[in-house]
Amino acid sequence: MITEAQMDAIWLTIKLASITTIILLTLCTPLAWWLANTRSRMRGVVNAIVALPLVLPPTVLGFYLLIALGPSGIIGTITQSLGIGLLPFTFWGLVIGSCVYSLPFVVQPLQNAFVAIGRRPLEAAATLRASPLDRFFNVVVPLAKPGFITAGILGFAHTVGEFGVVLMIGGNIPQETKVISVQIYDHVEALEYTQAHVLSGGMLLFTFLVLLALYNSRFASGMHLFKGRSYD
Amino acid sequence: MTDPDTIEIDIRYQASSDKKRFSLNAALHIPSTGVTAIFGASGSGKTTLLRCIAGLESDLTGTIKVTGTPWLDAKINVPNHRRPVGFVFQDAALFEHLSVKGNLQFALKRSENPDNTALYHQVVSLLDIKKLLTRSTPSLSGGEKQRVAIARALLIQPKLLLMDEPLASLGQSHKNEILPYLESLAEHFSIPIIYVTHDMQEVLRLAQHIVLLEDGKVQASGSIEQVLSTPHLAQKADIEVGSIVRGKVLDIDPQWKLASVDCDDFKLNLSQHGLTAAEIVKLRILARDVSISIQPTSHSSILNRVSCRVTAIEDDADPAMVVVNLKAGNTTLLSRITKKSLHELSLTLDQAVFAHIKSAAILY
Repeated sequence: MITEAQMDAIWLTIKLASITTIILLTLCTPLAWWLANTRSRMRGVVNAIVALPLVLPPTVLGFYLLIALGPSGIIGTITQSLGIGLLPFTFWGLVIGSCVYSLPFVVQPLQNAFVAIGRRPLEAAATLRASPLDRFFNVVVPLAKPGFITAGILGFAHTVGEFGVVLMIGGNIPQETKVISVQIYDHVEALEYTQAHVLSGGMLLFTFLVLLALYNSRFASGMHLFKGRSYD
Repeated sequence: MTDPDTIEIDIRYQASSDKKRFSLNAALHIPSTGVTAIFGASGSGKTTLLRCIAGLESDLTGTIKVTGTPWLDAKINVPNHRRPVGFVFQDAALFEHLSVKGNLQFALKRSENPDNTALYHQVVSLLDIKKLLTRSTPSLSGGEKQRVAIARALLIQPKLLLMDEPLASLGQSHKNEILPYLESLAEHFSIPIIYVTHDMQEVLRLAQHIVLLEDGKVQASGSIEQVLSTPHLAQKADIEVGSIVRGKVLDIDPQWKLASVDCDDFKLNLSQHGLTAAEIVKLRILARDVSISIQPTSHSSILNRVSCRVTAIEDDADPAMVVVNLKAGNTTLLSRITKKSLHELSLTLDQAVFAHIKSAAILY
């Protein structure tokens, strides 16, 4: 029932979402920590930039990414001089696009979790001889575990659901950039509704189960996916 | 000036946040033994002072020297996690991701002597938390949390124990639950303790020294006896002026339910209350409970009559009153009387008088 091309698309999507989630969790932890703790005036600016992908049309993001990754773009110049070549219409170009696109979905749950911990447990740890790194890994990380889980799940699920940015910078290359959402688009264009149903239904079920797990988990108590709060 | 056996603090702190225009400017010496209470109203800077000592505040300059070791001066600023303090927060601040045992081991593991199981058992039994060890911290009552927090602060093996109103968030019954532990703590560990509170009962019960703080400035510091028996200092602390006297219960009169207490320079008869013979007691005699007569009147309802001399006459905050300092042997008694009585008795310095003590509060 599932064709080989569909399996390729599913596998590629899982690979893309996994790599993106790992990169984002690594990069966003220090960023979210800084946002949660800084008194710098830059915080507002950085918060706004992080939230941009939430509201911008994916085509706008995709367009500027395409230019940045292109032969005369900032990233493109760097990748060319490093001998990597150009990234648009490659898997790694998609990874970069996905990281930008899913950034707020990882930063914000982490930031909320860090803010919720507050200063007190860290101060207590400091008076118990814990160095800053010791405090982070043995106090902050375990206390922020629900935040990390939410961030990971949201980052993964949101990358799986990506379409506009993929189309703009990834195109439609089997096994390289043709993820599930693009595959569905192809099916619909070719009027292959049965195949479109298989993938779309699968996506619907997958997304519902992810969200259900998230809202039902013991970590979700009192946690909202999108908190419209200021971090004062 | 430099005494290696004291804790020297001379700091200036300015809150960096614009919301609170608060500054602290404190210079004081704290003895390196016993309990020193930092006493003051809320907003007087008590907690900030304690946080500055622990290194939890940045924006400060000055010097902090603890038994000869500089923690802060022009060149040195020892980071908070390298200062050998134990800190008990008002809200206990236990780690919620760890069990009670996990919290204790967090401290022990990071102490200078992590294998000190003898200390571990001593602390666990002193604070009576053996039954709580496997519990999760959010399931503990306020009093239990505070006992665990005190145990945790002891297990880091501090050279200085800082306690920030550890009883303030507890109800009276929980306070009474913790106070005996705090008393035995001061007895069993020879660590200097700085204890922040706005509750005079706690000061009287626990501390030997007191620092009065008001609007970020030190108003007075010294032994409890000295500060609380100095009228203008006691008034600054907004507490009843009075003297503190130690004594030993001689015997109990079962007929009248009175205890006879020997205070070296005189004997007092007190309501028996639960006192037992040979018990050592600390008594607080308020100036308002002491009256003066020139003659040894025996036709009075007041049982306790002490022969003494007038050593000073000081003004009271109330313009109608004065505080007369009296000396019976080596013991100071204070008597708060009206200026009119002073005039009618025509009291003068060094005059021999009789002090009538109406009551004395038993501190412990």
